[in-house]
Amino acid sequence: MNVLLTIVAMAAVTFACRFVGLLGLPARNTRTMSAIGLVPAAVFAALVSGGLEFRPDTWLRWLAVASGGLASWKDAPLWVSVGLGLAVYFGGTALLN
Amino acid sequence: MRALGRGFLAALPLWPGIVAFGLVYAVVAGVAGLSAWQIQLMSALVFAGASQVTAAGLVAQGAPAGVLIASTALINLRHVLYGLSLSAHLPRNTRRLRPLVAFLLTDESYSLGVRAYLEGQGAIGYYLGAGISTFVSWNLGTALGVVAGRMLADPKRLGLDLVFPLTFAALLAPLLRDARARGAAAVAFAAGLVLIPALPRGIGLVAAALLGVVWGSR
Repeated sequence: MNVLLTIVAMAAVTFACRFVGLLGLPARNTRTMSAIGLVPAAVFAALVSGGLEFRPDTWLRWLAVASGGLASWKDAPLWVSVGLGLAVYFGGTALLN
Repeated sequence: MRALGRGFLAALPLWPGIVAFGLVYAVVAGVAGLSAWQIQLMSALVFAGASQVTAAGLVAQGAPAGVLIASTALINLRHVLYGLSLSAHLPRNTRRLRPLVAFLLTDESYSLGVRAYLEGQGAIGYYLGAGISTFVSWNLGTALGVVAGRMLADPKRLGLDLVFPLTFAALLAPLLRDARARGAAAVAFAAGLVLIPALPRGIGLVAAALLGVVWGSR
């Protein structure tokens, strides 16, 4: 599909999600609504694993990602967490080389 | 108009975080292969940070358009809850503004708007001001990221593709304080390590995420 159409479709589904709730529809099923609440955590976790490989020589990437995640856990802002992870990775690479 | 200004100013402390997130999104999307105008257009039309970063990650993995749209819908389902909550506070005479209210509905504008209503200071103008402030900062951050991204000669060769898992790990970490979310994330992460390389691009990721949600919902 064309990139422009994809972006427009993404905008449309986002708007629909936002607008439907404003109509004041009642939450029909607590279990479903509860499952929806887990979607971000599951998607983010799957995306983290998608950027990592289960190989011994990639341990520095794992360490960098863990460092960034730990910083965020400790309430560091997003840019600090990402910056720290990159610093660990590039610092580690420079030391090992 | 006064309420609009108050709402706009109320969101100013969030600007550093939003601008930085927009910058990270733009760099990630640039590394994924999106052009400058595509990156900026997505911020202007979709205006949803987490789903935009996710979409960029999916583009990098070669996911088809259907997967991008489906993931956008899944991630933004939480906005249904925000809308339900906000609609309880909005006066009936604001119905004509509902499309604009919906477009500007984000984690930040919802939080500021609803808190003001709960404190008895709420107004549609205040909410819209906070939403506009968020929109401006998000798109400013995106523009800065587009410019910064162009300065990087070859981000992948430099190892900057690490920004993907790093960003998602940073987005994920605060959610792990909830035990059910922790279970869902652990299963999705483990499933992703196995399924993403094994299944067609994009499908493995959705399958891993759904497994996590099912596990967490038990």
